[in-house]
Amino acid sequence: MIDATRCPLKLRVAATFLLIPLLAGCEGLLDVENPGSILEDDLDNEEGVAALTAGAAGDFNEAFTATAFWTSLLSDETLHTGTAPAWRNTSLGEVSVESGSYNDVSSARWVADDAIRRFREIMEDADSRAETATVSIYAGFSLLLLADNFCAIPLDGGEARTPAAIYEEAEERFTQALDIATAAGEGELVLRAYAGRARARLMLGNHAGARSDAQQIPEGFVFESVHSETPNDQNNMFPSQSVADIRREVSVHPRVYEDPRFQDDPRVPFINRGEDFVGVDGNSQFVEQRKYLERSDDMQVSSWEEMRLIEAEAAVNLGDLGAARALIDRVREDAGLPPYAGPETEAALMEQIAYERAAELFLEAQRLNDMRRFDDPFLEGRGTCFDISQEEKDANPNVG
Amino acid sequence: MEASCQDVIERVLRRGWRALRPLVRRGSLAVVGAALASAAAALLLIPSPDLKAQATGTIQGTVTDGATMRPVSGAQVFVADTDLGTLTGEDGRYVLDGVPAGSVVVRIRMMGYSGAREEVVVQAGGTTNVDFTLSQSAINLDEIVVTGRGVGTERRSLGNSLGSIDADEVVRTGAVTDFQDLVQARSPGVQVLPSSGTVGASGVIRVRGISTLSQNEMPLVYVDGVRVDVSSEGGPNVSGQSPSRMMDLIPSDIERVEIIRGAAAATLYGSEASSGVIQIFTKSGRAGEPRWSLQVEQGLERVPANFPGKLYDNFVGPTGVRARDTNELIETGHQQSYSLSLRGGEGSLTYYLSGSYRDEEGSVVPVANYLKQGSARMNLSADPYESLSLRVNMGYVNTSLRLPNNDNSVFGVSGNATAGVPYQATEERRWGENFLPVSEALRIENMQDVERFTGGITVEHDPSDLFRQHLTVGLDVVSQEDTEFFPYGFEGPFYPTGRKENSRRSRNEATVDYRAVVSNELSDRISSSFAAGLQGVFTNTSTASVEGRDFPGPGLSLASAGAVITGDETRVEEVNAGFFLEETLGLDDRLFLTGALRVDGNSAFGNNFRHQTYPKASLAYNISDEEFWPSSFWPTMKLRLAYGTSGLAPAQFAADRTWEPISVLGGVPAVTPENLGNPDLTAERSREIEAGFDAGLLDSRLGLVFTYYRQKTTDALLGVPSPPSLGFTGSQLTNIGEVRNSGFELEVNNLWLSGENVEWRSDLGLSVQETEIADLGEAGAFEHGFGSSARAVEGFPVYGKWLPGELEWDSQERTHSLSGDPIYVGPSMPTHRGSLSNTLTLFGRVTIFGLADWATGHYVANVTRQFQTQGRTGDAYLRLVEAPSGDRTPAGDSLVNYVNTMGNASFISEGDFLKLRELSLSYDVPAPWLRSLPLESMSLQVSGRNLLTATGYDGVDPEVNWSGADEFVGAEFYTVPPARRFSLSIRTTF
Repeated sequence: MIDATRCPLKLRVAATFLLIPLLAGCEGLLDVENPGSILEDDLDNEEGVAALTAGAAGDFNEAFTATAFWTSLLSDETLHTGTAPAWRNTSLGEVSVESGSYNDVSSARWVADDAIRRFREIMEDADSRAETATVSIYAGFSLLLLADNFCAIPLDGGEARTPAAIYEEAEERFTQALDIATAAGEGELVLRAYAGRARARLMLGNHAGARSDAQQIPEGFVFESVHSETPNDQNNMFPSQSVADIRREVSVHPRVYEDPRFQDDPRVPFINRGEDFVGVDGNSQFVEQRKYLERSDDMQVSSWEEMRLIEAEAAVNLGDLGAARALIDRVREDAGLPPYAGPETEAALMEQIAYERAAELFLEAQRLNDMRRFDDPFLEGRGTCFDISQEEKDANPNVG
Repeated sequence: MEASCQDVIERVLRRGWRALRPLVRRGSLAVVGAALASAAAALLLIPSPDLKAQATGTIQGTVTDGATMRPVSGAQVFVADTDLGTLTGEDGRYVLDGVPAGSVVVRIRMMGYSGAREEVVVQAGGTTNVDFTLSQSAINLDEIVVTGRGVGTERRSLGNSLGSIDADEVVRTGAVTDFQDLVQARSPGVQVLPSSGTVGASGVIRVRGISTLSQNEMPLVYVDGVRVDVSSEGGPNVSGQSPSRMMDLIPSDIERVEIIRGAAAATLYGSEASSGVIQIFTKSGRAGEPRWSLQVEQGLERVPANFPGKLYDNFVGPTGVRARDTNELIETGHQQSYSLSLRGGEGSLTYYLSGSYRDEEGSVVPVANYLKQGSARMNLSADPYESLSLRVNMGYVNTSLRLPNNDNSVFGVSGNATAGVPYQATEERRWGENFLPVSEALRIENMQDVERFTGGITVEHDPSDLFRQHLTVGLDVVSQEDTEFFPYGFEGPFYPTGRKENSRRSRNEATVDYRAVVSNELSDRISSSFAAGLQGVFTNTSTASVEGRDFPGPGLSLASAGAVITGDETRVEEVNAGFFLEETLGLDDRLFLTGALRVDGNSAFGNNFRHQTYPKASLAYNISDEEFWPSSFWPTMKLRLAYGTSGLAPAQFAADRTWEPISVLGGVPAVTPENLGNPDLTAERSREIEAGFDAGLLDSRLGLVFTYYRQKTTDALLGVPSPPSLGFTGSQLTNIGEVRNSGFELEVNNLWLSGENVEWRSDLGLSVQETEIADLGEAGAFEHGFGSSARAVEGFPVYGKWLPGELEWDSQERTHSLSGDPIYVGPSMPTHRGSLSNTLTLFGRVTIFGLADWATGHYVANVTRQFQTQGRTGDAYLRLVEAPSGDRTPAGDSLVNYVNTMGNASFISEGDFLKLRELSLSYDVPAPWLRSLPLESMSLQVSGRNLLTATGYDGVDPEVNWSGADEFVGAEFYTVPPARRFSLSIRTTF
């Protein structure tokens, strides 16, 4: 029993107050757990490699579907028939900081490149590991998306660079991936690296190099952007906006559904229910694309058919018109279409290649770049490439 | 063995440390509560010398209103300079036992009355009768207030402004169904911004404008000293009107509300308080016979027919079907409420028990929008020892709410009708619904079911006149279930084979508040009151949700029946803890100087910034107590000056650089950049200076309370964009901004007449508030809230409305275009507000109450009209086209072109309004008429709310806010206007 009567009140009060700093100052009281996130530093070990590799894939897939969607609006693949202002403006050919998938693609590129850097710090054998090859391939394809679709591209907070410079970066990533995948003995990754580099080289005008890389790809090859019903950001973006039962926000473009060639081409599936079937804007005719019907439908990033068309284009540029015609016919045959019946001139073949690419690569994020490359008159008076985002402009002093 | 004083201190500290040690290791909530309770218990266990053992007697009597001669219930009766006190019962009677024999001063305090005092000589063992007659007063500086002070104190010593609402009176005379109604237009500087007429949709409360650009702008709310949840977290996703937990506060259980308006007074609440503090005091028991009160209310509610689809019935669809006016959707919602309470007490043990039930239907449309709410409360207080009093407050609320999808939703009920294109009407879509037929929208079931318990125990220990200590430990527990259900066969977008989402939110918030006070006289003229305390608020919020899509057939309504099932879980723990020291020096009981310091830590602060320190100082000068003051015609005058600081902490985990776990490639675990983090993150810091006066004139029949304030918030948290090319696409929360607020508040309370037959009282409130963003740092200008056209721009008000540029019209092409920079239009929130209420009581039986309020200086964006026009519908467009076909005209096309050019800013207009907010007529049935009934009293009331609106705004209503309780954006977007309500109620006591 404590006898407090001998303790003056003032001292008891003082004792009370001594508790205060004790509590306020005690370490740990303010520490709380965050069980829902991973702290940055916890990723810098080998246990984080698988998650970072998969993360690079997930971020790329999200960026790919978004880019395919936006690009379809600015090109002649789709027409906006809904209510979202930024999509509407893009479909009208107006490009602003609010249009395009810059943030998704730019971040996906950084994530893949950051993973390469981390893997080299974490693993001594990084340059012979499949994971490093995988993220290098995602870095390369992200760079292709940037170069194909954006007017000027900053990397890592640097100055804006030309698409050509970005294609060179992509070529470098694919070459690196090729070496690592070869060292790791990963045949499928080797093919992806060749396929990516073939495209980069074609865009850089290195036709011999493009042809040589594309020839490495056997029939049946496909590299896909993988999508799922959940989580939402891994959805294929098209069904939610362009399948009539879900939402009639984005229609197939009249340039597609009014063109008899596309009407008979199984690679460009759509349903035209007539003029009275309108989009959610209440006015515009809505024609439903039937290529992607489920949010979990995967999308082709690269395929053997694309490689044959790269070879064909390179062949035309290298003067080998007969080879080009044969390659076109192979791709058409595979689609169940009759062989090319037009003249075997450079111009006619290039026009046919442009059509074959439009059909083969429908809603696969390449149309805008192709329209620019083939000087499509549709682009006159319209934006021909996307701007970087407001966030990049605000935060990157090198592009402000 | 006797212990020395040092031993006592040592043992006290050891006990405290033993209790705290596990807490240090684990920091868990329960342990923290237990530790603090132990610490206080250790102190309480120290027996005190009984300074009070002496001969005593009893004082009893009645307190009566001098004008009406009716008993005054609930008046505080206490013996000056002791802790002896009680409240008068319903009959105005009081009994004070244990009064020391000899000469003592008995004092009375009651809201709305002048205080009274009388010197009484108490005989040992005897009973002395003392009756008091009080006179009504428009101002009362004897009122005890507690919010924002270390210790309960009389208003006369308060150097800052403090709003208070006599909730009991408001509920009795006004037209109030929820807490929002209770606060609206009652206290200058406190803006209630309602959102819509959807039942269950909450508004927001903003005190002295907005001082933060990124954090929670809602004031902190305490109930009987315990912090409670008033957020709008969770809730079924209806894309617009959202419910907030403010709706769980039951007005009929509330006695009084105190409101801290700014940083000058909020200092002691530390790092979460700069948006203001609201403290609610629930009703307590009163000594006397048990007294039952029963109230039954029946009412109707109906939103005004303002939907912009009045022309729809001029049009016919392609098959000749005539469209319907959108306003035909409106029905009459039925309201009913019942409450029963029991109040009484014996000696020092008093109780208040209550139960209530409310059932309210929305008028758009009742089947899809209703609220059912039951509540129970038990408040007990007892003085087991002369020096120890205990109070237990417990409240339980069960709320069930059904909400239609609304506002910015393709699934909305009124939205689909209003957005309908009438010249496309069919038999199935009579409004020409573009997205979803109204009949299908009504099949979507969104429910919120909430169970909530808020309870606390307060221990007050008065071992001597010098020293007092006080401990409140309380818990607020919210258990919330939110569901969204689309049945199989749903004939609309996205979910043709059905969908069910069930989200559970569980939130526990524990409050521990310990205070100790030493009061003494330093000299004949100088008094001192030193208070110190420590407070901790520990919050755990967890959510778990499951979503199932694609049912195999009809009749299924569980998420587990879906073919695609996903789940989500979150868990957030937050801790805010700190201590304060406060000293008040009084000179001659008229000049009071207060200084205080609060030191605060918050778990959301970055690693480089763990604590914040907030000082305050204030001066109160009761100049009317000076001899030179002409107190005969100006009896009360207090001058006030206060300076203080408070903070607003960032969201938990904002400081950490994190990666988010995600599922990719159809089920492979992965990570993606989440939050850039900022180790230097700390609280926003608001500094405020306020000056004013409290004056009573004309025999205290005219009260004036004036306050001018100037507030500066530095370190305002803003998201500084991070370049996406560096991976993290979000922004980095950084303490870089500065916001300035200033304005004044004026209350004028006038008792025109207070006679036995006629009483007439008027209360006027005026406020002016201006905000300005002084600095946005690297964050730069940014837009706020979808559809609001509001931007944050340096040198302009917080979230003013902006046009995108200069509009040009090409008469040849008949097209509009924009040029130049954005153009400022005006603020989104009212800059000037006022309210005027009048209460007229005739013959003590008939009371007529009216409340009008107004707001000016702000602008509202009509996004409904913009989207309607873009979809070539709505009255504004249809007026310009051919009827009944809807064929286009050049004028209609120009309007569409205008809207496509201007976007959300197409229709911004002044939101000034004047509303007849409340009107009621009450009649107290004469007692003789009740003789045949077992009733003591009965009153009947007819009341109405939102009866008339005068405004130049041409949307559905200038007070709408499409995003409900989530944030104030000052825009309507297919929003339902606030409803008019009429009700008839009967109140009885027995």
